[in-house]
This record gives sequence, C-alpha cells and structure tokens, in this order.
Amino acid sequence: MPPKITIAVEKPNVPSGMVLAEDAASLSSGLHDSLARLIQRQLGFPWRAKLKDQAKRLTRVALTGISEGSGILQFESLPTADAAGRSPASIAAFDLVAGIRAFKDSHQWPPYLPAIVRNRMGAAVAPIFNEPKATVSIAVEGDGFKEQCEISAPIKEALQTPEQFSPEETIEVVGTVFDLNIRNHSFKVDTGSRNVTLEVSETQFQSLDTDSMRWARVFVTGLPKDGQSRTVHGVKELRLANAGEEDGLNVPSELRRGERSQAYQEVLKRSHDLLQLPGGWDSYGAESPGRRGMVFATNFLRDVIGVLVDHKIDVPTPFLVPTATGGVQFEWKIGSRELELEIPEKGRFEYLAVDGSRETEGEASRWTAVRLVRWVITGEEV
Amino acid sequence: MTEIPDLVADDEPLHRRIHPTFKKDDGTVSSAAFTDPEMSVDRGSYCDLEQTLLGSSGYGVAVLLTATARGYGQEVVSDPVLLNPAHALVRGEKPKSIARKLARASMWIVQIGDSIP
Repeated sequence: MPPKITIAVEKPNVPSGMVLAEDAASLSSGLHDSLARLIQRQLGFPWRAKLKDQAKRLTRVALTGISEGSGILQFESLPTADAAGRSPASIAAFDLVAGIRAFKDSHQWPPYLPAIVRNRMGAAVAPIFNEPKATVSIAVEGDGFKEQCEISAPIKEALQTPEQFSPEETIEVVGTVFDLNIRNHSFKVDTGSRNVTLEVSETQFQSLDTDSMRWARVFVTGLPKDGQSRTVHGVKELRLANAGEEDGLNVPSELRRGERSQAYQEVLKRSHDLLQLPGGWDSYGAESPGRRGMVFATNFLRDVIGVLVDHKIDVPTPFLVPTATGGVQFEWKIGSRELELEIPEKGRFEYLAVDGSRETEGEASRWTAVRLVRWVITGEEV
Repeated sequence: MTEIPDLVADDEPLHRRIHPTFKKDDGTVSSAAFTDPEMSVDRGSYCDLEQTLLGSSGYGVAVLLTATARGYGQEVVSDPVLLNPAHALVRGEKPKSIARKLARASMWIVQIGDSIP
C-alpha cells in the first residue's frame, strides 16, 4: 500500500462530501510546496534557497480522490527513481504533521520544521479559515507509521507567523543585483525566493557600481535591519558570488550548524592529513585523494549532521579512509549495523549496508545517502 | 633457492602491505585496502616479510589464505616480477561486499608500526 496523506476539511456551509475547488487547489499546492521544502532540507541543502530540481523530483504526490461522507482530500505518495526505500514525500509528510502536533503540545516549533515550510502551509490553509469555525486535520499513514495533527485558527496564525531574524546575527544574501539607488547607496538583490534591500557605504556602493558587478550575482554579509530581513545594513562582505554559492538568504550559524559537532571536526582534521598523501601512497599505485571530492565529502557530512541534529540525533565520528581511485569513504559500525559510504568523486555515492547477515550495496542518490547515515545511527528504515 | 611453483596452492598465505591510513580505531583493516581488481600480494611461503616491507617502513602486513580468496570468487595467480618472484595477483572484481569479506578474513601478521616477528 503506498503511503497516504489525508487532509480532512470541516467547513460550515459546504455540503458534506465536498471540498471547495479553491480550498482543494490551495491545500494541494501548499502541501506539495511544503513537502518539497522539507525534502530540500532533509537533503541537507539550505532551505531558504531556491527550490532545487532534485527536491522537486523527489516530491511525487498525487491527489487520488475526495472521499465520500465528508470533505476529505486523499493524496498518495508515489515512488521515485532517486530514492530507495520509503518515499521522500511520505517522510516529509510525517515531519510536517509531527511538527505541527509538537507545536500544539509545546508551543514551540521543532527545528526540523523551518519557517519557510510553516509559512507555506499557513498560506495553504488560510482560505479555509475565512470560515472561523473551520478545522483542518492532516493524517499520514504508511510504512508502518501513523501520525495526525489538527489545524485550528490559532495554529493557522502560528503557521503564518513570519520568520524573525536577530538584528545581531549576521546573515548571508546571495542573488542578482538590481535597482541600484545612487542617492541612498542601496540596491536590491533577488535571492530567488524574495528580494532583499542592501544598504551599503559609499565606497561599497562604488565598488558595486561597476560593469563587472552591476547586474551580477553577488554574495553579501550583513545584519538584518528589521525582523524579517527585508533590509540588510552593516554590510561586511560584498563580492561576486561563486558558482557553488546558491541564491538565497541564510544564517551562517544555522546553515553550518553541523560544523560544531565533534564528528565533523575530527573528520575535517583527518581530511587535511589525507590530502597530503602523495600518488602511490599505499605502495600499490593508489591515486591521491582528490580535493574536490574530499571537500564535497566533508561538506556532505556537515550537512547530514545538521539535518540529524535537528532531530536530536548525534552522529558518531565515522572512519574516513581514502580509496585507491582517489575517492574517500566513510565507515560506521553501530551495533549490528555497518555502513560504508564511498564518494568516488564529487556528487557520487556508492554504499554497502550490512545488518547482521543482510547486505545491500550499489549506487546511491544524495537522498538515499542521507537516509543511510540515519539508518546506521538509529536503525530507522531507509 | 626454493623453486616457486606456478600454481598457487589453496593453503598458501598471501601477504599484503597495509598503509597505516587503512587501520581503523578498532584495529581492523578497512575494506578500502582490498578493492583492486588486480590486487598485488606476496606468496608468504616463498617470500619473507622483510622483502614484503622493503622500502615501506611504518606499514603493516595482513595475511589472507588463498582458499579464502578463491571462496569469494577471486582468481589467485602467480605473477612473478623481476625483483619479486613470489609476487601474485588476487584477480577479480571486488564490489564492496567482497572487499569487506576479504578485509574481515585477513589478519595482521605485522601490525602497523611493529617490527617484523
């Protein structure tokens, strides 16, 4: 049975067994966008950045019907080629529902449900609440799991509450420059998901107002002038963005939260040592570890740690070993579970997962690689 | 000088140098040391450990039985070279599961940093 997501709408003045088309459209697109954002987050990518194709591809949800008897929208999570095991949309839906339920109990949003997802879901349910007595409940069932939450008017308000940025915490803005204003030395940056106004000094403005930077993609760090970071001032860094820096708005301490972990620090230190290995280092002609692959591997570990920390899962330090073909491999052994996760080159994963006498191996997508790390630590199904 | 037979017998020990990087915290060897489809080894019955470790100080040596390698679908063939007539190859694709089995089946005969017994 494919995992099912059910959204039940109770709205006065709508006949039983029916959902208004406008409500159904808003809920469907809101659910899809929320799940896609959560999948992007679970991939370890910055969740405020533009939605990646990889995350969109993994969000395969179909509206399969409106059940009789009440206003119930039924969705099914469809399998995708990029993910082994449980469907990403199903896993994201569990996070969404569990996060809303956790808020109802504790009045605090769990870190695994970021504002960009909450706001999108809040906007999706908002039209339902033009009838104040309406209620929405979401249930997810499948893969042996079941989770449910209810959204009332106060929860809808909480979902819609915009993200608040600290005026003292540096943020990074990456995007395309437009709308230069020479009078007040400001310009705007299109980050893909929102526009941010940057207020800079005269010198900084002059450096920007050149042929190479005027309409270019830039990387800027500064302080939010308002709680929602519509305007950023106190700019410390202003330069052209690198190809690897994606459009978006990020809080560096949050984006790189995995860097604080012991596992990341130990692996980073070892990676520096391994990069010193000369060609033929194993005495049998092994290639030196490639720098691009090594940086990708350590960044991947950092990002996975960040995702798992949000779920209160500590990541033990893996054994990092170079391979003879210039790649690197992470190895974990936890109880009866073992994982060898090889990164032969930037962007590629190969794995061997062993649980007692059971073995599986093959190529893995980034999604599956993240899930495998979670599996080896917690035993949770991939 | 002992004549080295062409055929590698099932009960022959095979010696492979192990770079310190391959040694895990629990003392075992990473499977990454056993992935080469044409994996060089020395036939332990015809080559002493000094020869295997010549020019590779700080390395360890792991020993693997020929029959074990063959049991995992590998071909073990003699491959004498000019300065090492006891050289052999453990030939065959080594997906991760096989490399892991070879690593688990091997034992230290010289630990990293130890002197030759």
